Amino acid sequence: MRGSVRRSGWTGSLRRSVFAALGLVLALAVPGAAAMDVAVLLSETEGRSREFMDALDGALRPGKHRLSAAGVASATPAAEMLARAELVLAVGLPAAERALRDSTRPVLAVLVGERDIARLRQAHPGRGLGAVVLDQPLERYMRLVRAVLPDAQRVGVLLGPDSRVLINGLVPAAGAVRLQLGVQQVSALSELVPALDTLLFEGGALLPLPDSFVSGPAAARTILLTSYRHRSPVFAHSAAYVTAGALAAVFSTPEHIAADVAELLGSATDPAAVVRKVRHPRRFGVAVNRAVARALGLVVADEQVLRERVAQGASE
Amino acid sequence: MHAVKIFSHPLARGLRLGAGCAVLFGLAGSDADVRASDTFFADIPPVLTASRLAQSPLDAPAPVTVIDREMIAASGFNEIHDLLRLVPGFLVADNADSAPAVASHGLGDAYARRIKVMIDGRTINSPLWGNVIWDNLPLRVDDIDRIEVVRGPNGAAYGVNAFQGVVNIITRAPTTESGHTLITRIGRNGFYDHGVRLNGTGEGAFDWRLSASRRAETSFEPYYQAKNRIWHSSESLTRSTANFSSTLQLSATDELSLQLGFSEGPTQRGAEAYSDYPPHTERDRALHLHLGWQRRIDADSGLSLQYSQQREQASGTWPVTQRYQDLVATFPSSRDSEVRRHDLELQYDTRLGERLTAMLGLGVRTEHARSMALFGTGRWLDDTHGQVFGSVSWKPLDALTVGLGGTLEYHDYSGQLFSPRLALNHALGADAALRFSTGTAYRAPSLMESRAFQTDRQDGVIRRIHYRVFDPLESERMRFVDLGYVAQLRSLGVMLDARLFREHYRRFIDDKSCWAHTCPRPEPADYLPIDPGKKSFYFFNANDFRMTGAEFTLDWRREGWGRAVLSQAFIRIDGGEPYSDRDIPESAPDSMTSLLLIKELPGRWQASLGYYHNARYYWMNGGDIVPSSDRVDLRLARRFGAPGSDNEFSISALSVKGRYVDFHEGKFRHEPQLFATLRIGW
Repeated sequence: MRGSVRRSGWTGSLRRSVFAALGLVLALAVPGAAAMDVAVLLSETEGRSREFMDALDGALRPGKHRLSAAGVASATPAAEMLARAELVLAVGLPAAERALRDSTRPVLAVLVGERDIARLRQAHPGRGLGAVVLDQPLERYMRLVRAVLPDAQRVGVLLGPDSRVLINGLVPAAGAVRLQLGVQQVSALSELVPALDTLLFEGGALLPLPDSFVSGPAAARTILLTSYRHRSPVFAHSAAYVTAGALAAVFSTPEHIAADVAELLGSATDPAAVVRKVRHPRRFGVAVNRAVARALGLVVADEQVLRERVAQGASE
Repeated sequence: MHAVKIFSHPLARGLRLGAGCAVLFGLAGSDADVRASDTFFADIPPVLTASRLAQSPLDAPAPVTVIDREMIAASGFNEIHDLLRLVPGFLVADNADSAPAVASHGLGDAYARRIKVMIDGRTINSPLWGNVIWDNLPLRVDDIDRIEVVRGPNGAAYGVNAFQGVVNIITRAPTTESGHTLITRIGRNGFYDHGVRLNGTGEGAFDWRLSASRRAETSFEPYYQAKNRIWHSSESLTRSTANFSSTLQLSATDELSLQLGFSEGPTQRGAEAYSDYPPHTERDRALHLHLGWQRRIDADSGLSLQYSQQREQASGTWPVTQRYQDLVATFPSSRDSEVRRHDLELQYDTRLGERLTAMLGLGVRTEHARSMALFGTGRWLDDTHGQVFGSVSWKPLDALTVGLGGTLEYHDYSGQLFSPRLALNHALGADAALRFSTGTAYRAPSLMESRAFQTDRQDGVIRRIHYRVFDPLESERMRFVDLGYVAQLRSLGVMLDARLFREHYRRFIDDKSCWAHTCPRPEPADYLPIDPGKKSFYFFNANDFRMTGAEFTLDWRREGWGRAVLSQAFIRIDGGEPYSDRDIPESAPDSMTSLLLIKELPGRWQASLGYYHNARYYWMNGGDIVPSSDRVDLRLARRFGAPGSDNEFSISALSVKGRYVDFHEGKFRHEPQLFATLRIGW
């Protein structure tokens, strides 16, 4: 497997503080006429937060807004900065939770799941909370199946306790790419194999949607082994799933999300408009496990071609 | 039995361990506090690694046939050896006097021993003869996920005795099964086969499967040979079989596996008219243990350590009556024997670069046998064998893969042997490839071929000598060249696998008969035969010869319609004149065909037809002519219950034309089978 997604170009020391990157962002961001004060609150100083900030650094149009570093959620954030800002950019779930607790300003959350945001919106009714989530639109998953397997007729969707709320959107998403749909819901490992046998007994592709249970390592192992026993390819939502044995996945990296956020902020003048809705990522990558494709006797197009096929006609 | 006691409660022990490990390593499924974002970034350990994935036939360095679950079910076969009829060039026979035999392209006899057979990677060839006791395997057709067959020598990958082919029986993985299943088959002539399969899971860390069955079958009724006015022997067997398979996920990277298998039961054999093989009961028992540890280092590297133990026990004693001039005497003949094998293997596979992968392995095997009847001594005979094996696969060009492999081994009876192989695979676009491979393979003499002194004894004297060894034998050697073409045309639903091959055999191990005064050595002092004219048989390295052939498989599938799998082989043995045994060139049929047709019908019905044809050929040493023959099997099945469930009712008719000649035209007519199968899961 070699994913098509370019990993972060960041090569600096892990010990380097993320605030240096933020400083660079701030230095470049000389405010303009419709500039907003944006406080950036991170969940961690390294890892994905760092990747996101490095990418945002490269993608943000200089001088559009005033960005300031409000600290890390696990430490004590700069309260006056959070209070003064017109918009809080919360990177990761802990940062979003902290921002909602410590600030009254509108919050744009990134590197979070759709389910997290739904829960936070429920817990903080009336707060301005928007997000660019990691979840792909359902139709994008279906388009991936169609792009990889142009002759596919069926897709079996496996839902877990978290993802079952997506069930109503499945029929139109599958219909958009002319795939017959099968759906099974599971909540325990003992239910997995019977559900997979039901979904796959007539062949077709398997799509386990993002879910804390279905995406866990134990369930993933059973899903991958059982699907392979049925000679059915698995379509997934992370690069790790592809490395583990899924045929292909569509997903957004911190770099993709950063580019989306830069675009969103670049065209925004009103914080309320930024947090008005929860957005799926516009940018995404596709990864393919070539060894699995070979073992299943499938000839799969190049990742760039697949990405273009998925992007064509995709709705956000 | 020591090892079995150690694992006397594998289920309870495993369940406790499983539950503990699940918590310890966080493998248990759902966690209410898991962030949704974690589902997009969480690490998932590699699952479908190279060792778990079937190698694409486009990339394989040797010709490979896979008999999948659909073919297994549709064939209607309820015996594992019969499934190999679906492999091009494979010959399958049963006879009333011993276990079934499987050979590839010819050179088969009652103890056919030139194919290496494995269950989930562990060798199960019997240490005695090197053959496989097909009717006493510790698993049933219902336990099999698929059978992968390397059609041809592959000593470079599997070591000594992977000579004419390698059969790897892959059982159903406990992780991918669920629920409990009851399977019952009832048929004509007293046939039954009742079994149960239980699956369990310990929240992802520990998965297990337990299968148990009991069956009875009459495979041969006495056959009257009008020419000699004699009724030949019959065979009826009863077997109890159980196997337990489990995997324990120790961590994200480490997995333990345990398999235990057991098979036991009596076989009624013999004929009233045979003075040396009257009706009697024999008994076989087999016990298998397989322990494995696998560490997945990363997506491209892994380490595995396997230990397996196999025990076989055979018993049976019957009276032999001999007449010589005015003397009539009766003495006992026995097949009592006991064998054990211990096998330890370490294997490491890795990627050395973008275009280079490598595998390295070490193995040690010891075999032990004790049989007064077969070796003339009550002591244990021991045999040790060590090997180092490795291979590299290099892609110098996108379209070219070079595979280089070899096994260096040391064997007590054959010394040091090196089996190399070179394979070139040239891709013809994305869905077709040409393959060229060449190399050398060896078959070391089995314990019987090395140490046999099979006798009938009475009151401290030898009354008769059967098999024996006078001089140490050298290993059989084969040099081969193989040219293959494989195409997977998915848009047409077609898979084509064709090959031409030539194999040069050297020092072929055969046996020949001698009388008291024609044997190479004087008879032992305690040999006091009733009939001095009775022949004995001794092993020797016979002459060299050449086998040439062509074969293909065409596998066509259309969704909703069904599937057709046609295999054809053409074989010729020559270049060995004058042959030490005229049966050698005759042991290969000129042509053989198998066709499996599967037709999906409305209402969840499925009909299937199996057609098997062979030109006239010989089974050697104990066998005889099998004339040109055609066999047709039919099966009609209907699934019921929830979609995706395993519930099924079927009727199978194996050999609808009735009894058929098997192994020896003059002696054996295999019974046809007609039976109903009910499979219910819950």
